[in-house]
Parts: sequence; structure tokens; C-alpha cells
Amino acid sequence: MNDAERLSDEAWLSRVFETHQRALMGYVSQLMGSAERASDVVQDAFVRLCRQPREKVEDRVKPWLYAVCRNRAMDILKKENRMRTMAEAGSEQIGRDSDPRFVIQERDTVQHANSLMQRLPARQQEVIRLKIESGLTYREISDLTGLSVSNVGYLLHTGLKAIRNRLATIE
Amino acid sequence: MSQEQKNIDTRVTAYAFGELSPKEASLFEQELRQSARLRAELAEVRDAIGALASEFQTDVQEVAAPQRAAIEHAISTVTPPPVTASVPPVVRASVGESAYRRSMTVAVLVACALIVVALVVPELRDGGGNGVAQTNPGELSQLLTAFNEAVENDRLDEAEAIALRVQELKPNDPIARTLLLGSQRRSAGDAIDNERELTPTELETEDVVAEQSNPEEPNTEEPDQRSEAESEAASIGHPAPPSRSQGTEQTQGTEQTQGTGQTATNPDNSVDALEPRAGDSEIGSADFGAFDSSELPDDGMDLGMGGHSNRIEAIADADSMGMGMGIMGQMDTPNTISRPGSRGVVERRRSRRSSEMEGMMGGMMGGMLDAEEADDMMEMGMIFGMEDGVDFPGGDQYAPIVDNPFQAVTRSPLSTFSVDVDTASYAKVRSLINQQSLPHPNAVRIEEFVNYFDYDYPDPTDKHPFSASIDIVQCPWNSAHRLARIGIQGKRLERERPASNLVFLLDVSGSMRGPNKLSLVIEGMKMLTDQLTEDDRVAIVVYAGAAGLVLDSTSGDQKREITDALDRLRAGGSTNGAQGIQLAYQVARDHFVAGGTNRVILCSDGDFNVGVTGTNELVQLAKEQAKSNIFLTVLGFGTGNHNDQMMEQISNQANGNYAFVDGLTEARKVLVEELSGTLVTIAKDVKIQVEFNPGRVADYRLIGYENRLMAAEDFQNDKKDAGEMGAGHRVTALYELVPQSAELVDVLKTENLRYQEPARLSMLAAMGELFTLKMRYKKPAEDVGVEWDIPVEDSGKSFRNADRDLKLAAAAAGFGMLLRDSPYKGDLTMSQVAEMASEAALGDDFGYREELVELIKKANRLRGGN
Repeated sequence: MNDAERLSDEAWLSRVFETHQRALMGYVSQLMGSAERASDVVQDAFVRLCRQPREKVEDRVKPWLYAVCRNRAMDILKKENRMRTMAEAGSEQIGRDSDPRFVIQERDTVQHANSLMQRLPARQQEVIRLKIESGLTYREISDLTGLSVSNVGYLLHTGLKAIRNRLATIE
Repeated sequence: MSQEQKNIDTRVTAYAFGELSPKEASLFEQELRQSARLRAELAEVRDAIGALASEFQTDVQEVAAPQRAAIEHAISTVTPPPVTASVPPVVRASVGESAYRRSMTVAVLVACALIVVALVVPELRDGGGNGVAQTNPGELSQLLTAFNEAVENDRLDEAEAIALRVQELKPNDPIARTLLLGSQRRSAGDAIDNERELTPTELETEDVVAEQSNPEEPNTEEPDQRSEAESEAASIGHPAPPSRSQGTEQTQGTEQTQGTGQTATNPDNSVDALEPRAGDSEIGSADFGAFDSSELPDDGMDLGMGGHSNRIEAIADADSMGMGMGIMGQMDTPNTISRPGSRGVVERRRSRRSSEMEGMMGGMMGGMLDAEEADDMMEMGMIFGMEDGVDFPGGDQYAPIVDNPFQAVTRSPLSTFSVDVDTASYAKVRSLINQQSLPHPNAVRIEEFVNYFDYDYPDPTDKHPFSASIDIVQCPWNSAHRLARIGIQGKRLERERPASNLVFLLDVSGSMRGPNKLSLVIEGMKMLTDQLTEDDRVAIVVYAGAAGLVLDSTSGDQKREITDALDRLRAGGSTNGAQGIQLAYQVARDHFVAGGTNRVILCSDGDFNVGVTGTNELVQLAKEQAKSNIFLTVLGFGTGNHNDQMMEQISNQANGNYAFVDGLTEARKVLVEELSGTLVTIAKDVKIQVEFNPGRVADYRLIGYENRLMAAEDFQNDKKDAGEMGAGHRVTALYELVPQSAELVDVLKTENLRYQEPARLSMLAAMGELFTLKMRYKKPAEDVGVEWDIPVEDSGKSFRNADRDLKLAAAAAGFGMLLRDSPYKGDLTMSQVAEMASEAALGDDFGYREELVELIKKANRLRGGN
């Protein structure tokens, strides 16, 4: 048995898991603001992957995983955001638009005080991570986020520009 | 910002990510060539990408344990549970402080034991597969255990007997020979090792404690060698995820029943240690590239080597780290990802193991410059690996060193080594001691201590590019011995130095942040820039996430442009050394100065932590480039993350030189004071061979140069590389000699050979010459070696009457021996060394000698007084 031959379903799934779990965790943790909550989302995605017919997802397993994780994360955040908005209405100004990540972003900032990405707009953080850590193409990021390809390029560029300025002042 | 501007800018980012269409990309590249601003911007973008990538890497999250277990469960119930994949077995020597004192030969035995595990196992596997043992696996494994015990308890005769028995059982197997060699070598070694304290070998196999181990499980054999993967599976309650051992999937299909008839070795464990597969060969050859695999004989070596590379792969895969990281030793750093229960245990053990493997590889590559014999290779590789490569504290990495032993002149009258003008070890140790910590013994390379200092040797007056001055005095740490000093002085440049074409290759990765790294590089380079003239050319290439040309080759009088480029440099990103070095050589080739100095100067903390793996590719590249007369200088910066071993290999094997820069003083010394020496090669492949006269010298010991030793026959072989010397370079070597008349217990007597008459001495032997110094070198642009020799007599001088230089060299060597806790340090103490050094420091113009005195005193205090 060697690598060139077809892996058993189990071996294939394990490999997919080991290959993608860290970058997925990085991405979802950023979305959710905590690795603990991200673990739940990633678990969810992989358990669902196990139930998919392999031939259906095999060719595009990476975008599939990201899409499932992202949708799940957004669902949870929206739900929480609604509850939070209701509970804390009046005491705190929430959300300039309906994007729940603006809330998360504040939490994130607290967690990663030293991060180069801190205080970048959430969308920039998201595309930067998807591009650099997860290695998705502009096209894949576009499909995943619903942003246009040129918008992805623009966000990445402006995000990196900010990072470049930060690097310049670090030294 | 205009719309057009914006457009160009996003293309820069897209280009950096490879997202432009081929047509767009080629258009953009055209613009790039014309616009320095655009190039600078691209470098910035790559910098930012590298910085982010390294940030993401340092903050890796894994799926938390409960969720992970749920996922694993989901995966394992997709199909019927397959058979456990496995991780090869591990026998490791536990190494404590005493390790450094342990005799080499013991380590050979340990190494033998390791191989025995590997060899015994196929027997078991064969047997297990058929249900009937073909040979007697039980006996073999018992022999292994007994061998281990014998070694452990210093019962050498018994070990030898066991080795013989193994040979009987497996007559055609190289293992028996290796074992025998080990046990016999050990007995012979005893005489040599008389002086040192032999600590019992703490040979132990690593037994993994399965958390739910079955108490009824027959566990008669010690040590227990069930695989880690297996115990992990046992504790978690379902098969280990196969992906943890991607390299080992072929082990599936071997049925394994848990809790029944556990033998000392598990059939599954070592399958991959024994069968190098196609997928592995790539890794194997990459890691051991220093030796062409075709040079390896069929027996023994492929087993051993295949085993290592497999393991390394398994480790790298298991942790989903890049190959590079596995090999380069990033796993030395504590694994911050903790997993619950047995996983944590496995994780930690695994990373320890990986460092052990690195040690082995480092030992093989670093220590084995020329040995071609498989036996030697195996022994030495193992020795280095098992001796010290393990349990190394902190982030710095060093190749293990075993002090050269005394050699009997009757048996090996020739001592051959390559010159080494490096001084990095001293600077590194100084920086450690100044930070109040004592160096790891392997960080102390005595020849680099000795060569750090300026000695006042006479300039060459004849046709040779260097002179040799020899002096012999009483040995300060053993009054019955003599200390011989060979001092070689390279010719200094009388007139202007030739034009230089320098390409600085600067590591600007995140790890270079901090006052002693990149900013020091920049300061040093500014000082160097002051020395340059319009005939010189400087270019700067940086590497981080991606490599970039920061300053294209620029004339030396454009100082403003150069310093501006330097000022723009910032640290950030992760390292891709390979790309950077390619680019640097490319620039050097493009601006090659015929008859001048063409050199790539690599400044790094040696932390090449991303992308193409490592050492070998880089070493190989540097080696090839040296053939076309572009040489490499490696400057090491910083502590804590410093890959000393790798840096040294690059310079050793590629004819380069290597210095460690720990502060501005050192930057000045290396880049300015020694500028001419560092830049102009006056002789290459400089080899030294000393032939001792058995009529006068009973034993000798070369102090230091452990990793520059050469086989005697390679001295005249011009195909064998050796060190290069630059203008004004000095090389000093010290030998401790045991005079023939001395009646010392630890002197090895002539062997009682049954079939040979003792050799007769030649007429010359009676003439009173102690030894003949032979030197061989090539002129920088020539391929044929030139050789000359000098016979040497002993003037009978006492150490008191030795000149200042010799006292200084002895002090530096003695200091090194004490820091290494060398078995040959005799009755030497720190205070004595300090005294020698201060005598030598009188009239020191530059303060380096005074500094040594201070350093010795500090080290003495750190060691808690005397």
C-alpha cells in the first residue's frame, strides 16, 4: 500500500483533518474570538464531512470545509448578537451594520494585544487569514465570502498596506 | 491616491500572491524592472506576508481535545476500524550531565543496541505473519535485552559473547559485526579512557506508559517496547488516527492483538524502520546528502539510515510540521500545544526523540567529513547522535563534539586535519558567559577559542602563501607531557586589496528582531561600507517570507544609497533561506569581478524556519558556487535561536568562513579589522598532516579540530576539500604529546600482534626529530595541491619560558577544555588558566586578551568558585 494508491475513507478523512484543522482553527477562532468555540464549529464541520459521500466532496474538500465552518460560525454569531443586542440594548452601542463580527473584533483585540492584525477591519482580517494562513485563492475567497474577486484583492492590499506601516514602526 | 495608483498597488499584492494571470504578471515584471519604488514596495508586501505567516504559525490553535475525540470517533466509524498504524520503536540512551564524560566506545554499544532492535524486528514480523517463528525471535530479543544489560553494567566480555551469539544466529547480518566491533572497541578503549571516569551507560529503551495498560498483560521482558502509537490507541480507546503517521500506512494489514503475548519488540513497530520506501528516499537523500547514497555499501547502512529518515518523517508528519522544521530542529522548542492525557506524553516524547534524531544527523553530517566506510560512518554518526544530541536545553543547537583521544604513534603515526580559521565559538561563549550562563559543552570548539586571538607569527618569506612556526614546551596541565604549537600565518596584503563584489544576504525574518541581531548587522555593514571604494560593489538581498533584492549591486562609493537601503531594513516575516541564497548568488554572478573577491555574506541567526528544507540544499548550493569562485561568509547573530550546527556546515563544506557576531566590537573586528582577511582568499583546501616519530613520541592528542579531522590518505587527495585561508589569517593547532620515555598508565602500549612483527624504526627516528609537519594547499585559482614539510625537534623549554603567544594559546585551549569538562584536562583549574592568560595579556593592544582573563574569571564564578 502506498500513497499513490487510493486511501481508505478513514485514512483520507484523517488526512484531511490533519491537513486542514490548524488553519481552520485559526480562521474560525478569529471569526468567533475563541478557540474553544471554534473547536465546536470545526468539530461540526468534520462530523458533517464524515457523513458526506466522499466522491461528492473529495475534489473540493477545502472550500467545502471553509464554507461549512463559516456559515456555522456566522449563524452562531448572529444568534448571539441578537440576544446580546436585546439584553444589553441601551448600555452599549452595537453594530454599525448587521455584521456580527464588529462585536467580535473588540474581543479579539483584547485577546491578541500584540497581533499585527489588531484593529484591522474584520473583513480585512478575514481575507488576510484566508489568503496567508489557509492559502485559498482570490477566487475561492470570493466564493466563500461573497465578495467580488477584485474586492478581495483590494481588501488584501489595503490590509497588507496597514501591516506594512505597522512593521515600519515596530523596529 | 489616484485610481491608477491604486490599480498598480493592488497588483503588487496580487503579484506577491501569484494571483496575476501570466500575461498580467509578465507586464508587471517589466514595470518592476524599471521601477525601484515598485521593487521596494513588493519587498515590503512580501515582508508583511512573511510577518503575518510567522505570526499565524506562532499562534497555532488545534481543535480542543473533546471535539478532537468526537471527530476521530466520527472518522473511525465511517468504515470498519482498520489496523493500528504504528510508530517505530525507540531505544534511547538517557543522557544526563555525565554524558559528556562518557566514553565514545560505550556510545558505540548503545548504537549497536539500537540497530539490534531494528534487526531483530523483521524476524519477529516474519514469524508473526506465518504464525510460526522461522528463526527464534524470542532468543534474539532476549539477546538484545541481555546485551543492553551487559552494556549497562559494564560487563563487556558478556556483551561480546552476546554479540558472537547474534552472529551465530544471523551469520550474514551486519548487525553482528557492528555489535562485535562495538564490544571489542570498548575493551580497547578502556586503556585510552583510563583517565576519565566511566559512568555506567544508562541504556534504556523508552517505555511508554499506557494509561490503561492491562495489569495481566505478560510483561516479562524489560524494557517494554510497545509503540507509542499503540499505547496511545489503548488509552484513547480506538485506533490511532492514521494520519498521525502518514509515512507508516503500509503497516496496516498486520494484525495486532492487544494484550496477548507482548514480546520485547512489536512486529509492527519497526516495519518502517526497516523498509525504506520510495516516498522516503527523497527525504533520506536530502538529509544525508552529504554522502552520496551510492557510496553506501549494501549492508547495514541502508538499514540504519533508512530507519532514521523514516522516523524523522514520521515525526514531522505526526506533528504536521514542514519537513524543514522537523529537520532543522524547531521541535526542540517545547511544544506549546498541550493535549490531554497520554497524548501529551506522546507529544513530549516525540519531540525529544526528534531532537535525538537531529543530533544523529548533525553528527553524521558535521562530524563525518571524509570517512567513507560504512562502519565508521555508522559508529561515528551514532556516537554523535547518542552521545549528546539528546535533551538539549534551550533553543540553540550544536553538533556534538567528542574530544580527540590520545593516539598511539605506533598505531597511527599520522594526524591529518583541515585548517579552520573560524572563531565563532569563542564569541558565542563569551556572549553566553556575559549573560551569566555557562555554555553547553558542545558550544565550545577549542580550535575556535585558540584561533580567536591574534598571535605574532612571522610573515611568510618564501614562495608559500603562509608560514609555519612551531614551538614545543612543557604541557601546563600535565607536566610529564609536552605541548606542541603549530602556528600558521597567512600572508598579509601588502598593497591594495583586489576589488570586491559583495552580496549581503540578510535574514530579516521576525527572529532577527532585537538589538543584537538585525540592528547589529546594519551597524556592522555601515562600518564596512565606510571601507569600500568605487571599485567595490555591494548588493543587499533580504530573505523572509520571500526573498527580495533590496539593493542591486551598487558601486562602493555610492555610500548614501547603500546606507539608505540599510536604513530601510526591518525585521519581520519568516525565513526562506534557500530562495534568498539563490538570489544572492545570482546577483554575485551577474556582477562577477574577475581576479577580485566575489563573496556572498550571509547574516542570520540561522533560523531558517520556512519553506524549502534545509541544510543540505543550502550546503550543496554553496559548495557548487565555491567551484565558480564565489565564496560564502556566514555571520551568526543573536542567541537563543541560533543554529550553530547548520551555520558551521554551510561554511565548512562550502569553503566559506564563519564568525559569530555578538556585539558592535565583534562586528567591527569581523567586518572591518579583518575585512581583508575575510575577503581575500590566499590558499584553499589547506590541510595539515603531522607525522610523529615513534622513537620520540609515544602518544599524541590533537586539541580541538574534532570536526575537521581527515583520513590520512585524503591529505594528498586534491579532490578532498579542506578549509580556506584568507589574507592575514592565522591558524594555530596544539598537540599534547606523551614523550616515548614516559611511563604512564594511560599510555596505550603497542598491540601484541600475532601475525606482524613490530615495525622497525627508520634511521631518521633516532635523530631526535619529534615530528614532521606537512602542509598542503591549493592556490585560490588552481586545482593542484602544493606541499611542503618541516621537521621539528624539541628544544626542551619549560612552560614558564614559553612566549606570550604560546601561553595565550594554551590558556585559550585550557579554558575550552575546562568549559567542555574535557577528560584530558588533567589537574588544570580555572585560576591556573586565568594566570596563564594574564601573563599572555601583557602589552595587549586591542584588549582581546584582557577580555579573556575577565571571561575566565566570570566563568569561574559561574561555576561556583574553584
